Amino acid sequence: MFSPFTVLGLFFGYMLLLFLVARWVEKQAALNHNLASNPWVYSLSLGIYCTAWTYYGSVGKATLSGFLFFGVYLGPTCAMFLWWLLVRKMIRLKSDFRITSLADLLAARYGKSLLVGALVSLIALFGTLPYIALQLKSILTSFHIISGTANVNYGPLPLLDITILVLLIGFICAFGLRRIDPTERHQGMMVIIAFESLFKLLALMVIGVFVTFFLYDGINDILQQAEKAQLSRSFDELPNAYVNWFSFLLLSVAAIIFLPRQFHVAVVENSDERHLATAVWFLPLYLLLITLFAVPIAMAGLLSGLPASKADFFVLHLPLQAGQPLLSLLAFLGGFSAATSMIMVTSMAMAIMLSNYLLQPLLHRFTMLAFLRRQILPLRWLIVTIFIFFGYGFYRLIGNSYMLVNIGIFSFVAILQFVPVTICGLFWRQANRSGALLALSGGFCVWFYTIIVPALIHSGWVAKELLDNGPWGIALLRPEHLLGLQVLPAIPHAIFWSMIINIGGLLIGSLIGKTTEDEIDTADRFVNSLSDQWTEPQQLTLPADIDLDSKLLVLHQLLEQYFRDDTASRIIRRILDELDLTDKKTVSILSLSNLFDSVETVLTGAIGAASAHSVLSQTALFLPDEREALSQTYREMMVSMRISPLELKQKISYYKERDDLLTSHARALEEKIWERDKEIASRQMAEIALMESKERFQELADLLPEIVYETDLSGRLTYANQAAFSVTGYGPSDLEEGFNITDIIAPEDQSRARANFRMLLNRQFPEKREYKIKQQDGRHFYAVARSALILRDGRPVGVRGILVNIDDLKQTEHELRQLRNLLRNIIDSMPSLVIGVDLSGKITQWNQQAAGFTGSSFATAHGRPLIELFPQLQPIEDQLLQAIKNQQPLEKLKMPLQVDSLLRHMNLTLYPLHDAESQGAVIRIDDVTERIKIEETMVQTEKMLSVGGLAAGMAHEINNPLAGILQSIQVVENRLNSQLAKNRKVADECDIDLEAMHNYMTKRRLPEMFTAVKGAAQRAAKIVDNMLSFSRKSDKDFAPHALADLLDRTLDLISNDYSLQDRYDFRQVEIHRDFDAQLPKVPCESSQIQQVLLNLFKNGAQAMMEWEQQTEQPCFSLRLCRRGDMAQIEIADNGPGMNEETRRRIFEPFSPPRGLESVPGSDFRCPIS
Amino acid sequence: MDKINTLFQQRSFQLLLFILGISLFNWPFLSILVGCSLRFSFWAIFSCWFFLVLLLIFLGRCLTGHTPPHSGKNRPQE
Repeated sequence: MFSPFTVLGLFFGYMLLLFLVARWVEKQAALNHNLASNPWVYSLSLGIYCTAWTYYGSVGKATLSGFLFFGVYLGPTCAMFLWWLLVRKMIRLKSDFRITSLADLLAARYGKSLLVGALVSLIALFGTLPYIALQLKSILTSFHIISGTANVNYGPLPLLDITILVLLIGFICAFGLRRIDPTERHQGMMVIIAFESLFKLLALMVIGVFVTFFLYDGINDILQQAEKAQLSRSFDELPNAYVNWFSFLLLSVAAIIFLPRQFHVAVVENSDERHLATAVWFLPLYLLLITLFAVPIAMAGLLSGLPASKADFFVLHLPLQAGQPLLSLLAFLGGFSAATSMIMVTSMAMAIMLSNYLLQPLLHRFTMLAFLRRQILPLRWLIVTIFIFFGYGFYRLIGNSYMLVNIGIFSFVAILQFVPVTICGLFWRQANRSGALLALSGGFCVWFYTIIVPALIHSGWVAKELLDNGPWGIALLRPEHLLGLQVLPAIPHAIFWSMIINIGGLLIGSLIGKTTEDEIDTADRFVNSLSDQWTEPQQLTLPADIDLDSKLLVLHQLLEQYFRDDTASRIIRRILDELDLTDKKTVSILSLSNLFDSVETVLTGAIGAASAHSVLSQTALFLPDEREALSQTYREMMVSMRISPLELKQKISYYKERDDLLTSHARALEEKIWERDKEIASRQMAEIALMESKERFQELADLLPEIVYETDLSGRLTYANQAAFSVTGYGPSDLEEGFNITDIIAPEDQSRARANFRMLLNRQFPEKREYKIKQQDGRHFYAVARSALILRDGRPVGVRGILVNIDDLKQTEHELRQLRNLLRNIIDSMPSLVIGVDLSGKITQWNQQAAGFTGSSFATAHGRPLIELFPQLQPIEDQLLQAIKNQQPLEKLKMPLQVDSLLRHMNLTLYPLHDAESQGAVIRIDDVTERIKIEETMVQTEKMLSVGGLAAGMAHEINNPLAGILQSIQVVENRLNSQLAKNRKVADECDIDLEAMHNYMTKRRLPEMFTAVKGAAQRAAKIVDNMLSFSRKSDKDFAPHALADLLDRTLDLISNDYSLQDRYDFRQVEIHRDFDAQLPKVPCESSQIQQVLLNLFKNGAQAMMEWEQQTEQPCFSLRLCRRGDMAQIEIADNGPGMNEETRRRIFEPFSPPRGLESVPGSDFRCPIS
Repeated sequence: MDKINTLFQQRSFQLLLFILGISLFNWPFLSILVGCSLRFSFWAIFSCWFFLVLLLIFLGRCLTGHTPPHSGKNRPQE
């Protein structure tokens, strides 16, 4: 089961599909591609005979009456032998008389009688209403079965039913009643009818195959089981089997031609009578196939336990019972197709008939309704709507009392009433209007009384007493047993009596009634419509003396009543053109007659033959003298040609026909030429537009610096712009030689390019589309390809694309990458911790120093709050966040931070970032602990330098008194020297014995004191001298010197150095030399180098002498060598060496190494610079 | 073959075939099926039906071969 909305959706979808198909076909028809003008479409469209009555009802009838229903399809099969004769005749008459319906045909035949047409329309209306009811019953019942709403009460006005009806009406109006002139064929509708015929056949066969071969083991198996179960009924078991069978056969022979929809499809919509030759065998074959599975499905339904009351819908129930809802849905759509096509065509045909023969006469009779004459189309839509809703009402009224097949038979009997008048009309000249009226009215009354009245009685709408006792108790008038005839069942009974009355009335009326000349004329044309015996008439020359303009005015006024002004004018222009009367002022009487006929033909198409004739008869087109002139002309023609009136008419008809044919062909050719010219013009316009577009594209493409190309499916270049040639160096000649796009790609990328090309053809998009492009001169550049498929009719025919040179891009990218790396390296190489933060204080950047300091990599730190990784900054967190938020710089110097239990000093600087895309700040943290220490050292050094300067000044000041002391002591020693004459002279003068004084002084150790004073003064002077020389900068000696000589001279200087007090004697030190003889002179200040060497030697010698553990001979090893562009002096001793602390501070000025303070000569160090 | 074609094109022969068809599917021929099995009756009817279809195919072929082009207008032979 499906939900009602699903089924309704499917219903809408199917209707939409039909709508689109019809639209497409009509568009094709407008382009002269007449898809409907084809024998297969015509033959399939005749399958409209098989309605829901066949689709569902055949199974129902087979269930109840065995093979009886076959008669309904065997009749048409037999009737096909007569089709060529009957239908071809009607097709020709249709063209001659612009017949649009059966009512038109009969009205035209019987003196263009409105009454005949109205009677036919009325019978058809009553006859088809039950049939429409049957179709609606099938659609709605199947809908409720498939949607599981069969038992749902929808109230008096079910919305679902109304929706379906409205949809059907809309579709009919859209495609069946779009134009006023219904003689124009409805190609869209014909194709969808053919489509629906095919669809319902296939659907029913699928269900039949499923039931027969999937639920059972074939047709024989089902029939055998049915026989065993005694479900089938043979002929002898059915009451009145042969009578019923014959009735069905007879009715169906009539129905296949005379049902309004059959007549419309077979005659009105026929475009070529040759299509009949295909239809005569195709339709019977279609009927055979569509009924092939009816009996097996019926028997299978009974075998599967379904009740016979549901037999009409076994087609739906069996798949549902077998758990195949999709198949049942298919069956539903098949049934829907069968019903809709019938409803569409019947409604359309009925609307035309009722409009022409019931409505139009009313509009002519009542002038107050004249304004409606021009509303033919809306009135027909209204008729369709009312007709379908009447059908729906009929279904609601008695539809549930009868099975589908029985309802269909009612219609068939009504339609049978047309057979005698039509057959006699086509083949019997004497049949006339009176006979036709008697036949039709009598037959219709009997049908109504013997069929409809019992139906109403069975439905409870009329008292049953009428059926049992007859009206007024007259048993002879009982509806189903007229005149006491009881041997016939209801349908044969109705057929028998209606045909007796019908045929009897026709014969009596025709034989007794008066036949008008018009009727005789029409009867001849009808009877001889297939006659091929014609003779050439003589040429007629008549004077053109009738004023044409006044006649045209009359005709225009007439046409204006039914068409819009412009349409009426257009019709008249066309007629004048066809009759070659354009621009003529006067015409002959024969031309006026032709003009009259043409207007009548046009009006017939719009309002029917009878109405058209009636309306034209009332016009004052022919004046009395003109009528007389016309009669006289005809008489003279007959006399001159010595022929009978009939032969004259035939000859006139022949010429008229030939003229019509030629005119028609000429018009068709003109239309085709016009269409072709229009097509050529539009093609030319399209070509011009295409050329312009192509040129524009070409110019734009040539202006582009990128390579623009097109290839075929194999990759062969079919187009390339100028840039392609200028950039790659290839020429247009290469293009002509079948150059492949992959040929310009470097070998290492070619396989990838080919693979990508194949992917593109498969509508996949490769990711890496960057290729190395090979230029003709061997150079390369990089390009990225952007390409798309060229589609034609939805199928790929090539590839179009561009190649963009990305060398600059790649270069820029490379430089950017380098710059980024450089910046990264700079940031990472900085000794500072560099940290980027966003406005919320979360880390966005992080250099290696920061990572090393915190032990967290950038990946770990990214996005985390700064304080989380730098808890030491907790005290200034608020200040940091405030500064970041306010975008203000912040500096914190020498912040004491505890790092790994050590107290370090840090400088923190925060710089706000002002870039709109990356707001935040950069924080730089520097560990300044070491710098602070250096600064402190520097301060100390500065102090020391100040002390040095002071000491130098003091030394300078001390030097003078020292010189005085030394000089004075020297003078004292000289004055005390007894050997000097001056001293003895002065001593004699003073009477002093120098020897005695000398002895006194010796005894008092004064000489030793003088020597000590002198030694101390000299030492002081030496210290002062050293201090002065250290503090005094001099570059006077900066010149190339041989280092070996410098060393030797220094050793000479120091070799005499002996100090008893210092307890060392340099002469005891052994010297080992290893000098590079090739060493060139080295630019230096010799005195400073010597000073250094002296200090080293002195210090080394003192250290070796003082070292108590010294056991070997003190020794200096001197080595002089070249190292690169430098000279290297190595001095090694075999003394105690230096500890680490001493070595670290060896070059610090004014800092004698610890432990060496007491070592002579090591009181200070000379700076080496 | 031409004779058969001509025969099938004749209106009277077409009428004869129609009468034969109607007779074939009517009493008394239909009474032959009385007493026969359902399967036999079924296939007998379809076989006869198919035979008629074959005749119609032949008729259609004959008519196609001798039908002048006609667009619905009464066009006499000239």
